[in-house]
Amino acid sequence: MSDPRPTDDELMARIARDEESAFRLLVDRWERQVHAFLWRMTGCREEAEDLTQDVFVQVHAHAGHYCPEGKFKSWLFRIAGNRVRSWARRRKIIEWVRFDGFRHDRRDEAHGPDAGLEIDQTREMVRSAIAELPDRQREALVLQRFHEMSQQDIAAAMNTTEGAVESLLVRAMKSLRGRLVRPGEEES
Amino acid sequence: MTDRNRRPDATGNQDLWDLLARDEAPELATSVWPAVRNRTLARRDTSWRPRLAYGFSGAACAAVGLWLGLSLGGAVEGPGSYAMDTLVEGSLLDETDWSIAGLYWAIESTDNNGTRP
Repeated sequence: MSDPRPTDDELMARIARDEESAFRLLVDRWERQVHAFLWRMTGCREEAEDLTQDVFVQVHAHAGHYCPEGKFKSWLFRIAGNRVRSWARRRKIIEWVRFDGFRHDRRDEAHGPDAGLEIDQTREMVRSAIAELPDRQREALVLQRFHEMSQQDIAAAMNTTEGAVESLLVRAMKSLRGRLVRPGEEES
Repeated sequence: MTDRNRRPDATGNQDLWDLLARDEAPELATSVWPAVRNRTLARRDTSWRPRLAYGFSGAACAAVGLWLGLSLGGAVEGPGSYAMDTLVEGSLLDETDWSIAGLYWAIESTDNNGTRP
């Protein structure tokens, strides 16, 4: 009996042999994470969805070149990072999308008029602060914070060193702290 | 539940992590699988089928060109050989006396100064 939950590496090997069922399983497994990452990088749900498609098309196209070293997540997020950078260049965006894009995306969600107003305000504040980070800092922070990747995996995904990732994260956190923490909570 | 809400705060500010933990990405409205499947199949279509078609077309053009060339040179029977035969025999040019034989005669009978005797 075959393993009911094949690893990503196994799925990639099967995709390289053109097994559609394996590809579908891989997409089902990772699409939400990829979409969430791209949404945080673009600030737009529709763009994130289109880019998510692009990422999986790339995964399919390069399945034959994938090296099964147990680092699929880093490989996948490297593709996603490259894709979103390419998108940003194409759109001639110098700075990453700002706060309004996030607020626009969230407007249609089913919150009652009184439900979680403070939570919404906090979310918007957080998103605004993250959106204002430089792109590399934001990418490192999003991968660490929202995708639970180690610094080693982030370095592989961003094609850089662990030291550089650590530096990016420290600077990102310092910047966020300056924007988010209320004056009374600041460290003395 | 992931461990992200319990991760030690590298910056010494747990409130910051708590704030970030409240920020959740929107769920995908629908799976991207149907679109991805269509696009990968379309990619496959654009990858080998047109190439195969172009390959066959190219091979056919090359074969026709080779056949015409060989027939023109007289190596095989074909429209080229008929055309050449017609030209050499002068049937097309008889009316103006400009057959190939006539051309050779004109060249041979011209002296070095370019004047006819």
